[in-house]
Parts: sequence; structure tokens; C-alpha cells
Amino acid sequence: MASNLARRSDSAVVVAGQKHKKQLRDRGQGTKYLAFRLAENVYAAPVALIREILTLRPITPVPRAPSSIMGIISVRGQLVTVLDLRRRLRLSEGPVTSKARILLVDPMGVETLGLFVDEVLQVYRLADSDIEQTASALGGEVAGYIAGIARPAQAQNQADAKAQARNASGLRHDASVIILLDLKVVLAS
Amino acid sequence: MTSESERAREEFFSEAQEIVEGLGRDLLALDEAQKSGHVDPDLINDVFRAVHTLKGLAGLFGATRMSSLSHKLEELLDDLRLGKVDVTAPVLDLLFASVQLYGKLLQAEKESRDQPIPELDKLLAQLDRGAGAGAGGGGGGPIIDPNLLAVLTEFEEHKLKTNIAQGNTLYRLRVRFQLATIDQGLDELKATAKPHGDIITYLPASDTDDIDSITLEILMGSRAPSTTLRNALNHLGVEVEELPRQGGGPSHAAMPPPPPTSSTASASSASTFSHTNIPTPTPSPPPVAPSEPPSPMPPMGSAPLDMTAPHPFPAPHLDTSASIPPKAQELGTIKSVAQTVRVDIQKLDVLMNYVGELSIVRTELDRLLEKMRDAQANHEVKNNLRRLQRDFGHNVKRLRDGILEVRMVPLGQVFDKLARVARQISRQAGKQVNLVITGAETNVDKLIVEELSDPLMHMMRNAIDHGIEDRDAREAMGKPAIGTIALNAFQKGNHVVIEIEDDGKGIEMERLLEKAIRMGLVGPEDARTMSRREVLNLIFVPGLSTKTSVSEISGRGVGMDVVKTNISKLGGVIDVQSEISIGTKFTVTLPITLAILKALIVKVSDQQFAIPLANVQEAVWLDLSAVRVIDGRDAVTLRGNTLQLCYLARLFGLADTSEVSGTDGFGLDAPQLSQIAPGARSSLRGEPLRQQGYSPAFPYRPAQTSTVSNAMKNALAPRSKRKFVVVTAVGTRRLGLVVDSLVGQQDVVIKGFGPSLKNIAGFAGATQLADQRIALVLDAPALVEEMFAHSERARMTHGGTHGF
Repeated sequence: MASNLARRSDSAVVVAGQKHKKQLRDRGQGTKYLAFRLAENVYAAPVALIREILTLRPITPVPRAPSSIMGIISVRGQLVTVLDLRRRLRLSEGPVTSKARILLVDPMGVETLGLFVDEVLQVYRLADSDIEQTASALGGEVAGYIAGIARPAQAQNQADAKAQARNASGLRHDASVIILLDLKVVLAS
Repeated sequence: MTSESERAREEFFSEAQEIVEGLGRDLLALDEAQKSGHVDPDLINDVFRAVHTLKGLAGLFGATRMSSLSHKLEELLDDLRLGKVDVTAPVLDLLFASVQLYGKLLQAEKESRDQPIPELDKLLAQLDRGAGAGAGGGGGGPIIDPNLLAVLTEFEEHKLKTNIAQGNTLYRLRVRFQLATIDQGLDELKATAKPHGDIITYLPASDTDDIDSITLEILMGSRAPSTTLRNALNHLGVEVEELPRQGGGPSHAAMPPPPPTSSTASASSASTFSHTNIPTPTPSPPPVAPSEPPSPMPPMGSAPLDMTAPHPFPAPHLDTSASIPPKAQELGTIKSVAQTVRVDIQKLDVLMNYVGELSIVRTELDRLLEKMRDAQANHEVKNNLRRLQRDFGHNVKRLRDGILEVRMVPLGQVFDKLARVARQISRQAGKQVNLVITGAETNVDKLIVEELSDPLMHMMRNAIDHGIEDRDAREAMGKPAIGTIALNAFQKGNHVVIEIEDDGKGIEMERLLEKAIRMGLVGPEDARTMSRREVLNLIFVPGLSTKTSVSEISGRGVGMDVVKTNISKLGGVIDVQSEISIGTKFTVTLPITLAILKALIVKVSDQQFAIPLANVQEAVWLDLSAVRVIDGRDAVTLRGNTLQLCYLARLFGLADTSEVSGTDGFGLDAPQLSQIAPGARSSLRGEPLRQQGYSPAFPYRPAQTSTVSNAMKNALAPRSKRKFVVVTAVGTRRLGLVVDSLVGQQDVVIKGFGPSLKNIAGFAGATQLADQRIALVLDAPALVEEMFAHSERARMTHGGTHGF
């Protein structure tokens, strides 16, 4: 799966255009982020933290568990707790579609958790300079979860046919603003 | 890199643990030998070597405290080996204390704790004193043929002296070995000679002239007459010559009296122990006669050996338990530090074999699948596939069993530690106890063994502290002065039974009941109808103890209730039987393995749950018209007893979908039901459930429905189906879990939840069912606890002291 992710990220860089790629090389490495949709917003988390992307499978609910825990799934014989990120972030919930995915993460190195997301979008490579540290300005409950805001719009506008097709399909997602999540804080709460 | 050193550390722990355990076993043997008056020098040598190895290991891993303890011990053991210090009870105490300290040091090392361990310094100081005092020990030089003495090592010299001191006859054996096979020949000779005596040394004979062979002269001490020895060794071509004694008397005249045969002698395979220096007012002869040398002891030399040297350990050592304050003597735990299982290579070979078989099956499957494309081959392919499927199934099963087997360890591991603990407790309590162990070879899952060690230790402590009477009391009753505790283990089907039985004073049921009534745990009316068993089971209720004063040994704030809880957690049950002045017997029944357990799969509003069969007593139809409300809780009467109900759908907040759920369970008749739930009472079999189930002792009264839940109301709707009650029992408490249907019985592999779900009560984990769906496994003991907690808390506030 890691290799899959790598491939995806390469293609992302390709669609970002030669110019951007050169820019990146000039600016140094940057960090890869996996963007995904939750409710109507685009969020992203460092690719390095994501071990695997699973297609949706039956989730066995666990009675008496907190509401943000959707239940458990079995991944190659291991039980994994699946968290509903939308509930954890107090976002509105919509219907589950076939695009929904479960991201396997283990940010603390103690337990592999599944994060339920509405759709996985793509991988972005973002340099620190692309990220605005606006979290403190946002206030409210979500502030702590947010590691920063990225606007890779210029790069995206070049030609992301896939993204445009998605936009056309009526699922509005505006990749001009990506909210970078601090998974450690999200999962610790 | 770190993981590698981690692994090395883990290796160190498991190896050190193994050595310490072996050491404990050797010490028990030594303890026994010391009492019987004949200490095998090889045994001391084994102990010495074990400590020596530990010293090396500890040094390698920078465990400085362990290595300094080992160093000091090594010095003492060396003195023991060379006969400079005698093996006496106080010396053994020091050694036992050391083994226990090793456990503590390992634990501290494992947790990387550096805090001081006060017992260590005390022990080191004692060891110092011991070694110093021992220096003057065997000072009186032995007068043996100087030529012989010159070639003997110090250890061999000591062995020689010991043999003389014990009045054994000395023999010179001559045997010729081919050089090519001398190793085997020697081994065979040693093995043959060992039961008859003690080989002191081997010396090449000076008259060896053949290049290919060598003649050895062997000096051996034996109690046996020369004819016996000759007969035994004859077939090896050994010449046996008895060395003459000075004074020319017959050899057996000098023999010491045979070791006293106490009652312990019958338990030959068991480890036994008793003590000589227990401060009892009655001047009773020590059960073990010291191996005093017989007075006329003319050995090979002219002057007698000085075997009556002053006792190397001066008086202050005689009472070790007093010199180390009781706090420091706390027993701690007997769980092992090592997380790893050391596995017999043969077991792994077997597993590897099955894996190989499985790979073959897989290759064959691939080939068949390829063939499937050819429609012509269909019939043959089908047959082959069926055969393969069968092979595959067999191998997977064997593989599963094999892996389970690898997790199994003999109970002897924990029994050995228990024997050490028992020795110590009995010493502290000033009681003489004889421990008889059977079934140490019974295998149990490693995890269970670890979890079991503390409850077993607690029961052992109780048996000695509360069960076995004082020597005086025992003698007054005509019982043997030395109490006996039997520790038995055996396998019974899929279960392992462990019994701890003492021949002590038994549990006074009247006092137990009286106290339970006083504490409000039992109503005076209930008390009259309680069966013997129910009364005895009261000792598992928190806060009850028959011992009026909390003793130093037992007063650790845990009681039999904790023991019971811990055993329940393992899916086991504990039972107690007791007769006044005859004894008490605790019986623990456990599943052999935790990894796979039989479970009853039930459905509650379309979700499947597994209930471990160990907790299931029976499953019956719920007769809704018999449901009453008592104290705000739904209950029914089942065969004359009130059974509290717990609606799982309500408890778990699941919608009641019984009306739309399938027909499962509805068409079950009684025989089928008892097949699904074999715990069901036999009375159910073949008889209509309607009559056997809940007898409507109390007619249903509509007025009480106000407190009945929605689930109940739904269930009461005319279209509703019958529900089932799964009766779970934990100790004396029973709870009826109301479920929508029974799916069947299945072997399940239980998996624990991750930390994110750790705090969710009522579930032991989850399991993947045959259809790949996940079923949550109910933690029946926890549910029972939970349902009863409220009412019991209320009752406990009337007065409950903790102790025992």
C-alpha cells in the first residue's frame, strides 16, 4: 500500500505541472499530505502517518463505546477500532457512499486506528512555505486539531482532470483550501 | 539496533528466569536431601554452576546487583562444595532467600528500576558473615594416603571425606576403555554406578601399556556391599576391589543409622520439607537426625578425620526469619519476568511439517484451478478438489493444535515456585508442612499459568496460615504433627483441574454464616435454606474471613473474592469443600487454553454476540408471562430460584428488531437446544420447553408492566416471537441474559480490544465468525458483577471490613 501511495503522489506531482515540480526541487523536499473529504471540506494529514487505505467494509458496532467510535473491523485478523472523523470533528454527517474509505493510522505508535473519511482525494506535496499557521486565528473547538491551512490552488488549477470531474459530479470540494489535521491531537481528544 | 538489543535483553530475562527456576528446584531437592541426611555433592555442584552461569549472564547485561549477589553466593556455594561449610537449614534459608531475591532483581531490572532493595544489602552482609565463619570449617586436615591426596582436587577430596564421614565403604574400580569409545564407556559406567554410590575420582592407572586403550582407576564410595557392586558393574568389565579399613572390622559396622523414615518418605516423587528449628514449647525430637559421624571412624590414615568441626554458621543465623524483618520477607509475586516462551524444538518441527504439507496442498490447488479451465476434466477435478479440501482442513487443524501446543507449559513451573513459597510461609508461620505434588507435568497455556500464579500462591498461603493447625493442636487431635498439603493437577477433557487440599482444621461453617448474616450479606431467612455448598461459597464474598485476627502473612488486603475474580477472568471456576478437623480442598477448573474457547453465539437485534460456554449454565425459552418485577428489576422463577434478567438489547442500546429478524431459533425444539448449549441441564432434553422453562409461579400482572422496558413491550406485542434466556453463572450469582435467538455453538478465537476500547465494560473482546463477520464476546463475569454491583454496594454499606 505504501507503494501505491507513492505512485499516487508521483502522479500528483506530475499533474501539478513541470513548473511546479521544478519549483519544488528548488525549494527542497516538502512534505506529502493525503487529502480527503469529510462532510464538505477537504482535510489532509501527512502521508507518513497513514499506513493503509482500506475500502469500506462492514463495521461491527460496539455498544457502550463513545459515539465517535463507529465500531471494529478485522484487518488480516487484527481488530481495528474505527473512528468517525466527522463526529470527532463535530462535522455534519452525510450518507455513506462507495467512495468512503478507512485510513489506517498509528500516530502515537500504540494502536492502529481506522479513520473513516467520506472520500480520499489525492496526495499533495506541500512545503512549509505553502502552509499558513492560522490555527490560532480560527478559535473554537477545532482550533486545536488544525496544524495549518494550505492553498495549493495555483498548482491545482493547472490541470487536475480528476478533481474537476469530481467537482462536476456534484460533490463540491474546493481544493483551494486544505485543512491540515494534527492527528495526534485529534486522536488524543 | 535497538530492537536487536531489546531481543537480546528479552533473551537474557528468559534465560535468567529459567536458571533461577532451576535453581529453586535444586534447592528444594537439596533441602530434602539435607533432611534425609545424605546430600549428593553433585547437587551442590549443580547449584554452584547455576549461580556461576547467572553471574556471567548478569555481568554481560550490566545487571550489577545480580552479579554481586551471584558472586557472594558463589563463594558460599564453593565453601559448601568443598565441605568447608555444612549444608544446614540456616544455610538453605540463605539460599532460598537468594533465589527469591533473584526474582525481585530480575523484576527491577526488567522495569529498569534502580531503587535500592534493602533485602539485598542484608543478604549480602549475611553471606559475608557466613563465608567468613565458614573459613575455619574443615580445618582439621584429612589424613589419607598423601600420594592419593596429592592428585585429588579440593572438591574430590571433600567428596572423599564426606563418604568416609558417612561410613561408606571405599572401592577401587579398575576398568579398561578403548580410547576411541572412552566417552561413551565412561558415561555408561557413571550412569550404572550412580545409584550405588558416589564416584570420587578417576585416575589413569600407571600400568597402561596399550596405545589404543587406557585403564582407569576409579575411587568410589558406596553403601552397598561389594557383591552388589560387582554384580552391577560386572557387564562393563569392571574389577571391584574393596579398600581395607583400618581396624579390619566389617565395613557396614561403621555405617551410620539409616536416615529416619518420616511420613514424608512415602511421597518420593513429591517435594517435601519440614523444619528442625521451629520454636515449639514441646521438646519434640527433630524429624531429621543430623548426619553425625559415627564415633569409631578409622579411615585410611592414622588419625580420625575432623568432621566435628565447630558449626560454621554461628547461632545468630539460626533464625533467619527473625533477622530479616517480616516486611522484607514479603513474598511478592511468583509470576515470571520473561514474556517469552522457550519452546521445545520438536514442537516447532511438527508445526513446520504441517506448514510444508499446507504448501503442497496449495500448489496442488493452484494446479487444479488451472485444470478447471478445461471443462472436460470437470468430474475428476471436482473429486480432487474435495480431497484437497479435506487435506487442507486436516492440516490447518493440526497447525492450529500445534501452535496451541507451543503456548502450553507444564504447571510444574509454577508448582516449583509454590513449593518454595510454601517452605517460606510455613517457616514464618512456625508450622511444619509436607507438600505433596502430583501432576506437575500437566500442560496449560502460558498466559493462564502466569495469571494463575498469584491466586494459587494466595490459596497456598491460606492453607498453611488458616488451614494447618499448630503442632500442639494437631497432636492433641491425634493427627500427624506435620501437616500435609496436596497440590494436584490433572487434565479433564478440555479443562485442567488444580486442587489445593490441606489436612487442617477445615472451615467453620457456622461462624462463616454467622458473620455473613451479621454483615447483612445473607438474610436470616435465606440462611436457613442455604445448602452446605452455598454456605462454603460465602468465603468468596468480599470482606468475609473466618480468621478473627488478620495475620501478618495473609493481611495483604486481598481475599478469596479476588482469587475468584481472577480465576473467573480466565474462564475458570473455583469450588471449595471442607470438613471440620479433616481439611479443606479448593478445586480450580480452568480451560486448557485461552486462545480458543467454545462459545454460544446469540443474536440480539441482528447483531451477533458470543458468550463463552464456560459461563453458560443453560439456555431456555423466556416465558414472558412469568416475568415479575422485584426491586425494580425484571426476574423470573427458574426451578424454584429467582433469576434476575438482563435484556441485552436494552443494556446495549440496540433497537429491538425481534419482530423482523429471521426465524432462527424459533423452530428449535428441546433436543436441538441442548445440543447448542450443552451446559443445559439434562432435564431439558427431550421435554417440551414450554413445560420445563419458567413455571409461572407468579401470574403475570398487568399493573407491573409500567416498569417494563420498551423492549419488553415490543416483546409483549401479539406478533412478537419468543425470546431466549441464557443463564450465566459466576460463583453463586446467576443472571439471565435475554437474547433474541440462539445461533449455535462455535469454537472462537478471542481477540482483545485495542486501548481505544479498553474502558468499555462488558466485553472480553471480539471474534471473527465463520462467515467473516465479527461478533463481540461478552464478558459474562463482568456483566454479572455489573448487574449485581448496585444492590450489593447498598448492602455492603451496612458493615463490611476488609481483610483476609
